[in-house]
Amino acid sequence: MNLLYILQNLDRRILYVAVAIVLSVPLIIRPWQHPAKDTIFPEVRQAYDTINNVPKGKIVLLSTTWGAGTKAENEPQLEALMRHMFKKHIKFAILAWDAGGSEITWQSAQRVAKATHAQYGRDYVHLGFKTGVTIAIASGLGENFQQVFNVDRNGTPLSKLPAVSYVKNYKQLGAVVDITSTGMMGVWIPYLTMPKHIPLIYCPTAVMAVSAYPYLDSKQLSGMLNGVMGAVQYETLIGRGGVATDASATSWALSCAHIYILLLIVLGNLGYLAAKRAGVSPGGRRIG
Amino acid sequence: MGGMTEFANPATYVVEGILVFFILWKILSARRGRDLFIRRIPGLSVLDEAVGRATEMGKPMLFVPGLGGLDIVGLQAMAIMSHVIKHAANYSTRVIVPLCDPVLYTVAEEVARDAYTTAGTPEQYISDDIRYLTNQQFAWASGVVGIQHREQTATAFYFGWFAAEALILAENGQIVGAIQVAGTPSIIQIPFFLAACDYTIIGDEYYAASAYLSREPTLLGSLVGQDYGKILMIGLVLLGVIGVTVVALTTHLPGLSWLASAVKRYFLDYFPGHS
Amino acid sequence: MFHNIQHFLSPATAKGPWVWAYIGTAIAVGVAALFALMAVPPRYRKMVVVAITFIGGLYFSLEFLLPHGKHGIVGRFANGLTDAKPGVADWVMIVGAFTLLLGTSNLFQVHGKAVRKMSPGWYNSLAFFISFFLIMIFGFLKDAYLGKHGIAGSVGTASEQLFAILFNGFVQNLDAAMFSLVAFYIVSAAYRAFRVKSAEAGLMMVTAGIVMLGLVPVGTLITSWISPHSWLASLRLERLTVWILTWPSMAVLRAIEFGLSVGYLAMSLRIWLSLERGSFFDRQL
Repeated sequence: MNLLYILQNLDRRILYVAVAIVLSVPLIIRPWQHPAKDTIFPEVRQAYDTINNVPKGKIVLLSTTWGAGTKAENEPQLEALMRHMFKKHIKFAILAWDAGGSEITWQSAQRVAKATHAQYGRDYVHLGFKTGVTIAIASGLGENFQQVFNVDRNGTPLSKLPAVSYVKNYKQLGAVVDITSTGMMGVWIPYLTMPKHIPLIYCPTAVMAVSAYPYLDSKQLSGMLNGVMGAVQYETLIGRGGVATDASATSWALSCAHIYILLLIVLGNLGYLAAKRAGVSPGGRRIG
Repeated sequence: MGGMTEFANPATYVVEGILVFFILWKILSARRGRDLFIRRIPGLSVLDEAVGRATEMGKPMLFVPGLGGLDIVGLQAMAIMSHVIKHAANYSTRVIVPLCDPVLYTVAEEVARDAYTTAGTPEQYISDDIRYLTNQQFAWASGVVGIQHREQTATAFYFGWFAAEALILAENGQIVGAIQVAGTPSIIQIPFFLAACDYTIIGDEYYAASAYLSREPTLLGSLVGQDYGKILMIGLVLLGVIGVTVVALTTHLPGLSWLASAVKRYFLDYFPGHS
Repeated sequence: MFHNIQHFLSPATAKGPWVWAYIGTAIAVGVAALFALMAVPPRYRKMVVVAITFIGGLYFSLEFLLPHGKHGIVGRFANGLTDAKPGVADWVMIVGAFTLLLGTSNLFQVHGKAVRKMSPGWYNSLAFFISFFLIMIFGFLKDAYLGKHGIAGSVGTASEQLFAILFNGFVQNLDAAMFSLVAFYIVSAAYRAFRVKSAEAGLMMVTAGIVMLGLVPVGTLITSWISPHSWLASLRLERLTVWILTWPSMAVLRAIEFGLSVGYLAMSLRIWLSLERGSFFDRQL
């Protein structure tokens, strides 16, 4: 009976300490193993193909709405995409929607650019952050890009940056990538990507990814990176499968955490069943 | 992919026109005195019990309108908040409302003041209970958690747009032992509320809440109109299934390929992603 | 015509004294409009609100519904509405900015009272004031010393570094710390709440287990012994996961989205046509 009670009513502090250990170990060890190519999700492959097929002379707009909270999921997505575009010499512009996001993406971009010998202004630009009614900005940039973004984050006119000086409107946009922790599909799809037939790649956190499948099915999205798992699979596709990255470490930390949670659920249910059989009032809460 | 435009196409005119007609028709019909049925929504019918619990314990209630601003979701949260405050005013129970958006804060102040006045107890309105905290998501969440622990709120209502902080708020409500009722149109947060809250209203029950609580004919009529609209959606889905099946079966049949072309041209091409 | 109206109302190219002329005119028109609204008799105020709400909603409805085109009055009118959208967005942003002042004043009021009366926890309110003014002052100083070639001067550099400590060191890290609480809370929520008390709950748990494992490397390892080309390949965890997410889960989500969208439309319609009911909407103005 005592054991049954204990199984169902572990002190939450024990659970928290255990999950902290379970998450920390892979992040410290940093395993390099990436998913095999045959386990890659179709939507990640689709995103990879979309970037690969961006026509020459067009840029990719990377819209980022994330901050320090979702850095573990969104930063690997941003880095994987940037590495792919630097490798394929596809120019891109990073756009943030708040000051925190602007700073954090600027730091990521500089780090990746340094590692891949890319040059700011020639290979990529950072447009800083834009506040305002997102719908108006999204549809406005499709009509007149340089009116909506006349300078980059450093105050340099876009006309002086070779990567984007020729971008006038949607015709020079080869794809839009939405790396987000809040979800801006509802802005991009009806106001830019669908009317102007521009592919949209969605890079949400894992918990948000599930709501994107209807849009993948109706082809309003041209690929998706499902949280950090999408990022680690994308890294496999771009040939970084043997490198220990933040994405690989985080994916293994997630693995351990998922197994731990499943074990706890099984433990709780075993305790519940045993208590029920013993005629003791079971704890927990009903679901379903 | 056909039929994708930034602006309305004929399918949009037809579908939206019919939806708007259903909603307005039912509103007018309800206003003429027609009795309309609405099924019980457990999360909303527990309002009295939740307010009663806070009164018994002598602790305040918490109404959290989420992250949204002055939009449809926020306005619906304000409508629900108004009902909660009116009930609470009858029992002289405080309702604390921490807000994340300054625009919604101005509306919440007015709504709260009106609710107390309508309940006949304008003196119970405490301006400090309607608080703007910050517009940063997690700073706001930590502020709400602080309120939950300091005030030891006995009841918590979460109605509005929520993101990742949903579980943080709900779990802390569990820790302080509050009875919790949640409702959000944010589908991905519903599982977290289901796990941590006592009652959760799902999907468009959120938009039905004001009609359910007030039983106002206009709102009830609109709700019935919405249901008719959903039947229209089901019909469209079935027609779409039939259309796609017909196209798949007849495209390569020599005598019937005209049927495939006609279905595509006059129906499927107005909707995205049918391929 | 719309281009001219838009250019008149949002003169992006105005220079020198014309800028002040526009600002002065805008203030004068705003104050005049405010007095005009206050002078409206109470029984007509609701009509004014209804009219403004209707016109505001009508703009977006017409912009979406009217067919656009280069020829014809309707087409050109619709094009004009679309061209005006960035300007309308600017107006919305400006109105929103004013309410930020209201929010900030409420913060000052609440926390000022706590510090003045030394209520329990007053030091938290003091921390609010200290952090508010620190980050504001260093933020302004940093931008004030921002020149063509970056931050200039020792004051500017010091401000930039202090701002970086406050923003990157405190704000960003506290943000991440709060988000990380979700990981702990999901463990306690799952452990406490997930009890299999019915067949449906059991089915849900099995599905959840498959999806949880299929999304992570460990899950793909568990069924990696099944060849991806064999007839059993569909039983590989990651393929089961993809199937669950792209078929039953997607269908259910779509259904919920339909319901939500219709509900959203109904409420939008009620507000646009001023049919919404409730003490806030029915009150005397």
